[in-house]
Amino acid sequence: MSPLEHRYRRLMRAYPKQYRSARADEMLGTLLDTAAPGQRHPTARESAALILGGIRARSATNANMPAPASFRLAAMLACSTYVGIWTAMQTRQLIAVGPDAPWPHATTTRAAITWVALVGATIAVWFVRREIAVPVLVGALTAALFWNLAGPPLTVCMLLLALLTAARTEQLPKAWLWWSCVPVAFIAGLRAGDSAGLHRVRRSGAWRRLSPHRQDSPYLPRDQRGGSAAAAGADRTAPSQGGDLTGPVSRRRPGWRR
Amino acid sequence: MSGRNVAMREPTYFVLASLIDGPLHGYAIIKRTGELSGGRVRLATGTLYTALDRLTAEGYVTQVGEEVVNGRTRRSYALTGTGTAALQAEAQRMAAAARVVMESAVSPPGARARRQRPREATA
Repeated sequence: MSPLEHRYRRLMRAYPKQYRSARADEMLGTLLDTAAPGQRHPTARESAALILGGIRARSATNANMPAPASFRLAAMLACSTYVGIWTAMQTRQLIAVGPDAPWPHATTTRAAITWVALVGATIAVWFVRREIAVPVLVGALTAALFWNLAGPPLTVCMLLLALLTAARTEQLPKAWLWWSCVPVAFIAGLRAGDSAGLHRVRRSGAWRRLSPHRQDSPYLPRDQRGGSAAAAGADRTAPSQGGDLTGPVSRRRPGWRR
Repeated sequence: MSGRNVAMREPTYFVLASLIDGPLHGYAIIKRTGELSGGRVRLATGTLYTALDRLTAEGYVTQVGEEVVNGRTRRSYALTGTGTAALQAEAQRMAAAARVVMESAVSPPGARARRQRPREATA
């Protein structure tokens, strides 16, 4: 197999497996026929066309699926987007808190436990493991409520997952599309963080003053709410997400701890 | 979806036009499309097969033959009756559109002005 053929085969993974088994050989023949003599790499134009074609073929496959399956896929896309955005928010927070913050600290640990439960429930729903999905989902929701981590996006996410679990009658379509939302949302979340001015927080050293783990910090009273207020007052550009799971539309402004 | 009222996109038009003279396989369609459009339409392979899938689903094109060349399947595609009718309808639409401009261009400017004056007078 020539390097060009190998690269074309790799690009053709953009197409669904069923489509590839029917068409890959024929397409590969045409691709190699149109290649220039001695060409080793696919052209940018050809690569873009293959990736776009793959996405179209996948959406055509998805367009033929029954309505309940489409609903589930849409719900999984929503959940994945939320998980991506939330992960970006948490990453931003850890960056802003800085290297002197020992991890895991309480809020992050609680949030991480709830997050892992949420992801676990999502995966369990995906693989039709209702007996696992239901208790994990209930556990995640209980933890979120108990630790006061729930916010509108998390609640919607949980409700969607609960609906998916309850309404499940057949296997979800095997599509990778919803996974793609995680990195996209992650990058979008980071970009949103940049525009919120978090880089200014780091550059000005404000994160050192804000860190709840610096025992000599004059802004860290014993009372955690006071700590939040001090943090919020120290710099208006401080991230408002804290360790909670409320995502970008949080109604509360908790600071680093509660 | 086969009775489309919207204008065909240029690549679609030339892909269908390339099949007028008989069935062709993928690579031949790409070459013929380029020739017919004077090099304006350069189809990427991914784009061609997406178009062929769509045109097959719409009933404009059908697969007519299959052979194995260098160990790989090579399929030939042909225009269907619906595809021929759609292509002719599109050609007539474009010809009518072209006539609007061409007829105005060949008539002397004074004639156009005379045609417009009575309308201005009534306004």
